[in-house]
Amino acid sequence: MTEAQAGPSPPTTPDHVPASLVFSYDFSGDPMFATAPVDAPEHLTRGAPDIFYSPLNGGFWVLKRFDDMREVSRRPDVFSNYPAGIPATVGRSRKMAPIEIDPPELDRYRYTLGPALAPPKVKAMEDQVRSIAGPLIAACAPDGRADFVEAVSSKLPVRMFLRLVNVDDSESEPLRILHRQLFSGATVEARIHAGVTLEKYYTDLVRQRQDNLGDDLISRYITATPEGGAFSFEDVVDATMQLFVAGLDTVTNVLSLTWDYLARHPEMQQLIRDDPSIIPSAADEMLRYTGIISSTRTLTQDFEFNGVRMKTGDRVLMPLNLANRDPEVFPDGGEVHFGRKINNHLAFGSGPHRCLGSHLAKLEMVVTLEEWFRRVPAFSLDPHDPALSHGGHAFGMDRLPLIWEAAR
Amino acid sequence: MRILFNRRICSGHARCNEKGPDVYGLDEMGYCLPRSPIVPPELEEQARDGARNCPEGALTIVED
Repeated sequence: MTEAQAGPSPPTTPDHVPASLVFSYDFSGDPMFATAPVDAPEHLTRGAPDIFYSPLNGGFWVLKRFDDMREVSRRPDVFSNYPAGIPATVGRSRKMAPIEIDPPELDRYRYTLGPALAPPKVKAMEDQVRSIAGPLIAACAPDGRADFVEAVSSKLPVRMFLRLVNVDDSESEPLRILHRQLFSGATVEARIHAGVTLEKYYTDLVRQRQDNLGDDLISRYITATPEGGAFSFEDVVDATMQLFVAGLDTVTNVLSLTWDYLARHPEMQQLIRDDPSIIPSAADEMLRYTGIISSTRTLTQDFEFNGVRMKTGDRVLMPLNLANRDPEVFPDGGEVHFGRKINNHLAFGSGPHRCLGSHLAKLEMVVTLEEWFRRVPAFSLDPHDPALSHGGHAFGMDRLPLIWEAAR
Repeated sequence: MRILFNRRICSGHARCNEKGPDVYGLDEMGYCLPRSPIVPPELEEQARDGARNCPEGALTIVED
C-alpha cells in the first residue's frame, strides 16, 4: 500500500525485525491526516500485521489490537514511558513529568492531582465550563459562520485551565496562541520558540505562586507531601506545563473533529436536537470514534510480546484510534452510534497513565454540545473555505470553517 | 448476582459509576468502590452496564 514497502527495507529496520513485519506507517506526515484524520490510522495500516514495525521516524513498533495496547500499558516495567515521542524528544535535561515518569515514582503525581480531577470535583465545575462555552458560542451564533477552532474549540480549554490554576482570563489569548504554535507552528523554529516561551511562562507562574498559595492545582503540587517526597520547584514547573500541554490541544482537537463529523452528518445533528439527553452518550461515542492519541513506550529489556521479539530500546506506538475500532471489541467500530450501549473505549488510555483529565475533558464536550445546540441551527462545512487537519501523537484540526443560517 | 472487582487494574475511568451509580461508588481518586459485592435484583441491569463499560475489564459479573 505504501511506497516504502515496495523497495528493500530501509536502514532503520534492525536485524531482529523480520521482513514480514515491516510496514511503513507515517502517523504524523501522511497527507490523509490533512483531510480525513479520523479514518487515517485504520486506512493506512490496513493489511499490516497486528503488530508491525514501521521503519519511519527512526523505527518503531505499532500495535493494532485493543488487548495488546491494554497489556502494554499495564507493564511499565517492560514498556517504559520514557522517553516520550517518536522520534524521541531530545535536548531536555530532565524527564518531562509526569508523562515520562513510570510507576512507582508516578504515584505521587497521580495521588496529588487525581482527587482534584475526580468525578465529584469535576461535576462541581459544570457551571464554570458553561460560563465559558456559552458566551463563546453566543458571540459567533448571529454571524452564521465561524472557524470553529478559532472561535470555540481552542478558546474553551485554555480559559478553563486558567481558572483551575487561578490565573486571570486576560492571559488566555497569548497563551492560546503559543499553545497553537507549539503543536501547529509552521516551522520547527516556531514550535521550539513557542515551547521555550511557554516553559519560561510556567516557570514564572510557579515562582509567583510560591508566595501566593491558594486552592488551585499549582498550589496543590507545591504544598503536597505525598509518599515518595514533596515536589521540587522543577517538578512543579514540569507538572504545570504538562497540565496545559495535555489539557488544551487534546480537548481542542476532539471538539473540532466532533463538529467536523456533525457538519458532515446533518442527520446526526438532528438526533441531538430531537433528544439532547443523548449528549453524554454521544460525547463518549465521539471520544471513541475519534481516538486522537497515539501513545509511545520504550522497551526496558529484551522481551517477546505475543510472539514478536522486541529488543531493549525499541519504540512502540499505540494508536488508540485503532483500539477503539478493534473488530473483536467494536464489531461496527467504524460507525458512529450515539446510543452505543457498550462503549469501553480506550480514548483516555489504560493503566497507570490513564488520562487524569478525562472527566473534565468529557464535561467540556458535553457542555459545549449543549450550549451549541441551544443557539445554533443546522450547520455545515463552508464549501468555499476548506477545513484543515494534521497528524501526529494527537491528531486534530487547524481550522474548521462552518456555516449556518444566521438569526435575523 | 455477584460482582468480582479487580482493584489492581482499575485505573479510574469511572465508567462503572456513570452507568451504574447505585451499584458502583467511587473513592477519593475516582476509582471504583462497589457498594456491595452482592447485587439486588432491581440493580442487576446497572451492574451489567457498569461492568461492560469498564475499559480495563476490571469488573466481572457472576450470575448465580
